[in-house]
Amino acid sequence: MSPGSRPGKGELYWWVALACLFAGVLVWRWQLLFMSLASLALTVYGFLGLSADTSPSVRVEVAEYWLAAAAWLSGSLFFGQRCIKTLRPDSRPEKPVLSPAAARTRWFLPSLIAFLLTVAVSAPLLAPFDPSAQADLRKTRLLKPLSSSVSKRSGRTWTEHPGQSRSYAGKTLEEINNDLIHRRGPPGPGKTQIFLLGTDDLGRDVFSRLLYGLRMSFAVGLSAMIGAIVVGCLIGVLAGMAGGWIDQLLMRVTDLFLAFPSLFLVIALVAFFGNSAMLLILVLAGTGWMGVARIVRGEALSLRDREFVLAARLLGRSPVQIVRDHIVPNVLPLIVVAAVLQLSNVILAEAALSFLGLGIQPPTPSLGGMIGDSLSHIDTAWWLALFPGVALSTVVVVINMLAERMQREGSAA
Amino acid sequence: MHPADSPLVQSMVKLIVHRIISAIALMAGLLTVMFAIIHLAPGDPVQSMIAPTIPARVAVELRHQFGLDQTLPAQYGHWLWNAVRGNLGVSFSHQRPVSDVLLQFFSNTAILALAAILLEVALGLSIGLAAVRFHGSLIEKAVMDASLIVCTLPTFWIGLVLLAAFSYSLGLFPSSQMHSVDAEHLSTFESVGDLLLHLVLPALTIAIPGAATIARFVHPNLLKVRREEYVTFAWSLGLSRRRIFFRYELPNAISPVITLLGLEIGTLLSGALVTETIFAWPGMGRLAVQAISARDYPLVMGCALFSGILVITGNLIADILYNVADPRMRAAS
Repeated sequence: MSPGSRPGKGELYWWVALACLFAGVLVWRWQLLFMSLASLALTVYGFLGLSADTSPSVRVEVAEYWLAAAAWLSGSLFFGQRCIKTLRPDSRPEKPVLSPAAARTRWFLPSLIAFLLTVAVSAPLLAPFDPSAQADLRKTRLLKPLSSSVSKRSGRTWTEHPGQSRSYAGKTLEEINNDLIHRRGPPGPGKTQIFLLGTDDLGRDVFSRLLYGLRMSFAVGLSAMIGAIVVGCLIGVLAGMAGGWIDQLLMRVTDLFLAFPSLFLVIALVAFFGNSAMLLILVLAGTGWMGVARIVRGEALSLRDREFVLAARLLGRSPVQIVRDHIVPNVLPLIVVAAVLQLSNVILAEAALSFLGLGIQPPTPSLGGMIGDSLSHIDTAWWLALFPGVALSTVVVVINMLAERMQREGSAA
Repeated sequence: MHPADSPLVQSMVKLIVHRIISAIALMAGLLTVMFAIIHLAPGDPVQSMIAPTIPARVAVELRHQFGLDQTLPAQYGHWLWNAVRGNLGVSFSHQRPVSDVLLQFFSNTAILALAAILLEVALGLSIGLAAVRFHGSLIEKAVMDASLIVCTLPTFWIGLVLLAAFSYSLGLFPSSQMHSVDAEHLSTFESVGDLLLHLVLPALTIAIPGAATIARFVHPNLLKVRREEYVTFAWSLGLSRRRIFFRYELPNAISPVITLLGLEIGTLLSGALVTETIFAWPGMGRLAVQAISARDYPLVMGCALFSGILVITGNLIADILYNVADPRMRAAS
C-alpha cells in the first residue's frame, strides 16, 4: 500500500464531522424531510394516474423542498459512505497517487465544494426563517449574531411541527404542500427566536438569507456557466473543424465580443431590459463563452490534422461522428478546467452586479446584494458585510483553487 | 542601415496598421450594438426630463430639438457623422457638451487608475521577487498561497474590508469622495495632500488583487528563466549578479506582466465601477451607469466610444510593448 492512500487524521475527522452534521440535520428536520418526501411521492403517484387526486400541480415553492430533501438525503448517504470508507482504510481501492503530499489533501477541495453545493440546494430545509420575512421591525432590527428575541406578535401561528396533531395518513397532497409553504410564517406569540448570524436593517434573519443567497449564486453561476460552455464549444468546434472562411468569420466575431467592455455591455443590457434572473443568466452566458471557444477551436484545429482523425475520415465517418468520437473526448479535459474557472468568474460577476443593485432584485436574497445593502450600515453592523463576504469568498476561492490544481495536473500529465 | 528599414520598426508598423484596421471594424460593431440596445430599450429621455404637467407640445418640440423624431438609421448616421467630426452632441442630463463631461470624469478616473497601477506593480513585483528570494522555504509557499487566495477575492469585498478597517475603525483615511468638504479653502499643497489621502483606499482596493495576480505571474516565470541556458551563459561570462538580474532575468520574467497591464489599464481607464461605487469616486464607471439609467443617449454613446477606444488602445499598447520587450516575438513576426 502506498503511503498516500492511507487516510490521515485530518481526513478522518473531516468526514466524521460532515457525516455527523448531515445526520444531525436529518434528526432535527425529520418532519420537514418526511413531508417533502411525502409530497414528492404523492405527486409522482398522481402523475402516474394511481391516486384519486385529479391532476396534481407542481408548484415551485414545493419543488424547492423536494430538491432540498433529495440533496440532503443523498449528501448524507455520500458523506456517510466516505466516513465508513475512511474508518476502514484497508477496504479502500488502490488509486494511482501523484505524490504522498498531494494525495493527503486531495479530498479536501472537491468535498468542500460538494458540501457547499448541498447546503445551498438544501436552503429551504436548513433556513430557520423565511429569508424575506420581516418580523417585528422595532424589536428585530439590526440584532447582533446569536441574539434572541421573544415574539409578542399574535397572528398566524408558526406551524413548525404541523403534523403533530394529525397523522400524515389522513392528509391530502394539497394539505401537505400548504404546510410546507406556510411553514415559516410569522412566529406565534411567546416564541423565542434565535438569530444565528444576526438580523439586517429590515429585521430579516441573516443566516437564512445567506443560505438562500448561496443557492442563488450557485443557480445563476451553474446555469450561466453551462450556457457559456455550450455556446463556446459549439462555436469552437465549428470554427476548428470547418476552417476556411467560416473559421475566420467566427473568430472575428469572438474577437469582437472579447474586445467589448463586457461589464459595460452587461450593465446596459440589464439596466435597459429589466433584471430578471433569467436575463442575468443569458447575459452572463453571452459574455463568457469567448475563452472557451478559443481553447476548443485551437484544440480542434490541431486535432483535425492528426492521423486518427484522418483515418476516421477515410473510413467514411460523418463529421458529427468524428466530432463525437474523436474531438470531444480529447478536448474534454480542457473544457472541464475552463468550466470550473468560468463558474467562479460567473459567480463573481453576478455578485458584483447584485452588489451594484443591477443583478438579483432586493426581496430575493443574493450574496452580492447583501454585501451591497450592508454598505450603509458598515460603521455599526459588521456582521451584515462579514458573513456574506466570507461565504462568497470561500466559494470563489475554493472553486478557483480546484481549477488551479486541475490545470497543474493537466499540464503535468 | 536607415532606422526605418530595421525589422523591428517594419514589424511594428505592420502590426499597428493591422490592429488599427481591425480596431475600426471593432468600434463600428461596438457602436452599432450600443446604439441598437439603447434605442430598442424601453424608456424615453424626454419623458424622464420633464414633469408630467408640462403640455405635450413641449415634449414634441424637445424631441424635435434632440433629433429623436427622426428614423433610427437617420439618427445613427447623424450621430456617426458628427462623431467623426469630433462633435459628440450635448448630454441631456448634464446640459453640457458630452466631450466636456467625459473629459472631466476621465481625469478623475485617470488619477485613480494610474495610482492603482503604480501601487499594483510595486506591490506585485516586490511580493513576487520576495517569494523567489525565499525560494524553497515556507515563506515562499505561504506568500504564493496567500496570493492565490487574494487574487480571487471579490473586489467589492476587499474594498469594504479596507473601508471598515482603515476608515471607520481606525479613522486613518476618508471614506468617500475625491476631496474633503472644505477643499476650496485649502492651499494647493494641502489640496494635493487631501487628494492623496482620498486616493489611498480606492487605489489599494484595485491594486491588491492585481498585485497578487502579478506576483503569481512573476514568481514562476522568474524561477523558469533562472534555469534557461542564456542565464547560465551569463553566469559563465562572469557578469555581476546585479547585471544578470536586471539585464537577463527580470526583462524575460516580466513580459507577460506587460500584457496583463496593457489589458488592465484599458479596462481601468474606462471605469472601475465597483470601486467607484464603494468610495463614491466620481469616475467614468459611475458616469456610464448614471447615463444609462437617465436614458441620456448622447452620453451613453460617448461613454461607449470612449471606453471602446481606451480598451482597444490598451490592447494595442500591450501587444507593441510585448513585441519590443521580447526579441523572440519579433523573430516570430
